[in-house]
Amino acid sequence: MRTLIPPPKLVAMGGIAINLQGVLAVAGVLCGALLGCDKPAPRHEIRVMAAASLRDAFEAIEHAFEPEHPNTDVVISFAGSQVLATQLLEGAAADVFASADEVQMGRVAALCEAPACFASNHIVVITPADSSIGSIEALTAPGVLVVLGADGVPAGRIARTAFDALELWDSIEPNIASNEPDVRGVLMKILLGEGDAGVVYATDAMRASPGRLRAIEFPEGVDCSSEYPIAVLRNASSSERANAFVRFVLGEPGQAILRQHGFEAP
Amino acid sequence: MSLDVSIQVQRSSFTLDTSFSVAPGEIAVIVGPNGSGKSTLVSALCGLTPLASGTIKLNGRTLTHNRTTVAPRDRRIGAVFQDRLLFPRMTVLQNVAFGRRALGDSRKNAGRAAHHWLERLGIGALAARRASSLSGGEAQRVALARALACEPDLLVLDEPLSALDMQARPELRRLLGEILASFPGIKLVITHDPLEAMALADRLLVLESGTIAQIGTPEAIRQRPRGAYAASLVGVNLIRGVLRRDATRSLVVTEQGAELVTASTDLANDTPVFASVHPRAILLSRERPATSARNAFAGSVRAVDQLDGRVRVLMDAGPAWTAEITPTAAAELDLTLDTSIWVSFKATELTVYPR
Amino acid sequence: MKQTPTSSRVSRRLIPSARIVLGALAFIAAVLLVLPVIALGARAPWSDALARLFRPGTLDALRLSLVVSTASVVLSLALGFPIAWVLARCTFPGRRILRTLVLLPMVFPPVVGGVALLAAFGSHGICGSTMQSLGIRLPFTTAGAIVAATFVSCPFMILSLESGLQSIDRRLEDAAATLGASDWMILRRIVVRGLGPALRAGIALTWARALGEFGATITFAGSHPGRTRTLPLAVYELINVDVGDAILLGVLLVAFAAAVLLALSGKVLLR
Repeated sequence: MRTLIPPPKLVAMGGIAINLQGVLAVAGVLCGALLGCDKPAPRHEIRVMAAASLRDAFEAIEHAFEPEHPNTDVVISFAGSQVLATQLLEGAAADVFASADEVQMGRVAALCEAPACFASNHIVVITPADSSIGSIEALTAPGVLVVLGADGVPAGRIARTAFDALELWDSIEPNIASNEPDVRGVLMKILLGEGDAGVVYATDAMRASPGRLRAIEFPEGVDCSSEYPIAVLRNASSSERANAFVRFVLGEPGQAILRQHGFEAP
Repeated sequence: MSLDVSIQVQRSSFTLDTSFSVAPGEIAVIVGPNGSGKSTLVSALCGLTPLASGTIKLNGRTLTHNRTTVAPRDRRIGAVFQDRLLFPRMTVLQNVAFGRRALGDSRKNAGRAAHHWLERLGIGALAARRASSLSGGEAQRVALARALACEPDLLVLDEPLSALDMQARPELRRLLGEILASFPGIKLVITHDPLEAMALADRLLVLESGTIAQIGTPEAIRQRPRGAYAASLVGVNLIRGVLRRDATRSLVVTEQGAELVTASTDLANDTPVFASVHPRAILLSRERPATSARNAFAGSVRAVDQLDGRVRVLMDAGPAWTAEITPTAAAELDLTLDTSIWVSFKATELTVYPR
Repeated sequence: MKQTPTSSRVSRRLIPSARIVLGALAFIAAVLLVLPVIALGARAPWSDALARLFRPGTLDALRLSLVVSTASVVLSLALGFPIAWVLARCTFPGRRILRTLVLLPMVFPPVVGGVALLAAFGSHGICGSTMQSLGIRLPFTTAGAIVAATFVSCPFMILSLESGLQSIDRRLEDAAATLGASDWMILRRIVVRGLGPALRAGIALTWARALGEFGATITFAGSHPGRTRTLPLAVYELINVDVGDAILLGVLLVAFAAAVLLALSGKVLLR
């Protein structure tokens, strides 16, 4: 009878999610009564806030986790880490926070148990597939339109650091056409051909329309990676269930799924 | 120098088909009931409504000939519209100066001309007022000043008094008379008000259902109205009929078969005629009259009105009749609705003229 | 207002229960609309407000927002008036379709508007190659930000002006023509002047919409300090770095908009 209940909607605000869940539970009871079946067992919810770059991987993790934990429902909100951190600071209710960088996790440190790193990702330069740009140095040529994430966006912050380490930042900076509020904005500008080059996570480049983008890796030795920390919120509705989910992500099955989606070991 | 109009205008509900001329110096008044086509005529004159066919000439200039037309702004026609159409967001002075500015005058000269006309119309004090804040009489004067300031070849006044209350009318009618008398161009006044028409007109043009039913001096129309509206305009009883004469007498026979005896006439037998009799020439009595009146009809009273010290009685006796009698006579007759009554008048009171 | 006696009589005639219901709903509406504004102000870090506001990026964003919103009002007026005139004064088949089409940007989801603009005027858009050959590039430029703001705000101008044009007695234009006025003079002195309040409302709405514009701008023009990063974009970026700064900037935006709206339609709002 569980299948009669539609999959829960992704709702950013935990409060609304609870109400929605209540409505669904009532609907489920009614369906069960109509069909003359037993009541479904009460369902428990784990509310996860996860960085946008984790979407595919975490959806796969959700599907792997739920069969092993009956009567548990994982509800994930995806958004930029910086947006999620701000929502948490403004009082949004959640059980688990998975951030794309440590800076954003640091902003909500007071609200969380001790975080643990569960994956790492690194940034790459992307260009349209037919671009003549073949190296990172080519980004310094006058007139190249470079699109980065804004300072608050992890991928943007790491890109600046990496360019700086290569001593290219001063000559690339004049070419910056836009500081996008999230990585999707960078991807879209390059995919639509408005920008000549952008910087996104390797996982984003891998996911986006294969064949339309080309990725240029940063040289060895340049720090261009980002650690993904995960933490249980102090005011989680059930720290036991929340910890179970975090353990799953950190454990064998979770790690395997993350690897499949291009993430590296922490 | 004249206005010559011969036009056909097609409107959804009716056709205006009319010809007339207006000479300089005379005040021509077009009078007609509501819906007779007066506003359409004004609009066509100003070039705001296209003609189906016809010609409008002003002082020898062809303004419209069939579909070719001179733009409204080049017509040199000063129109005072029925609802004035002052520009509500401008001051009185700006309204009056508008035309001069449009003709290319400097702001200063246009303002000077506007002041001149405002003084002329006795409203110099209103110059700085918003046009939307004026009373009806004030607005009418401003509209007049606005039209006059352009020094048009033709001045058209559409219902110049009808929007005013009764107290404001005599004063403005006097002013209007003065202005019209001194205006050098062609003058055309449009009205539905018989009194206003009679008072202002050198020549009346009676417009009925889109055509000119009659043209003449007020006196000529008073004496020989043609058509029901002209008759009511001058307040007479009008009967349509055919003249039947033999050796002894002349009769006007109506379409319903009523026979009216008239004094001798030189019109030929079978001539279609109008016959008119003034309400004051009609005698009323409860019994069949024993007087020498040759015409007598039995009927009943349909309405009784008090009017300027006279009593106006409407009766249904063969044709419909209107009589005017003294209040004393009315009291003696004890008239109420449906009172049986005899209408009589002398054959010499019946004026007969060809249709 | 001349209608005041009538309307107040009507409202007094309402039965008490209707008045209670309307009053309660009005109160709820006021809470919904006004409380968030007050709450935002209460949250702002007033103690070091000046120091926060006078950071270079903030003033850049404010200046750019002024330029972009004002330019898009001018552009909306120049382009919106002819469209409003055609809609109000001409009868032709497809007029209602045209009206719907030109008002559509009002209901575009923010990013869709930007993608639509890119599809039309981006370097790979329909007009892209033509514009490139003319040396015009809109994405990532202030001109692009102005185009984006105009795209979403011009419909407000068109709506206001169209209803304004419809409310002008066309016989006033006839009267002006008989007084010798040319078409341009009629347009200038009768039509434009007659638009009065509709014009003010159109400018206020268009300007407010352009000032708050975010989605189409970030998508079409990107975010570059001093070039395309207007106040709303700056607020969005700051909110993930320093909430205090972001709120303060938001308050600045709101206060600024309120001041201009009051000035533009003071009569309407203060009556």
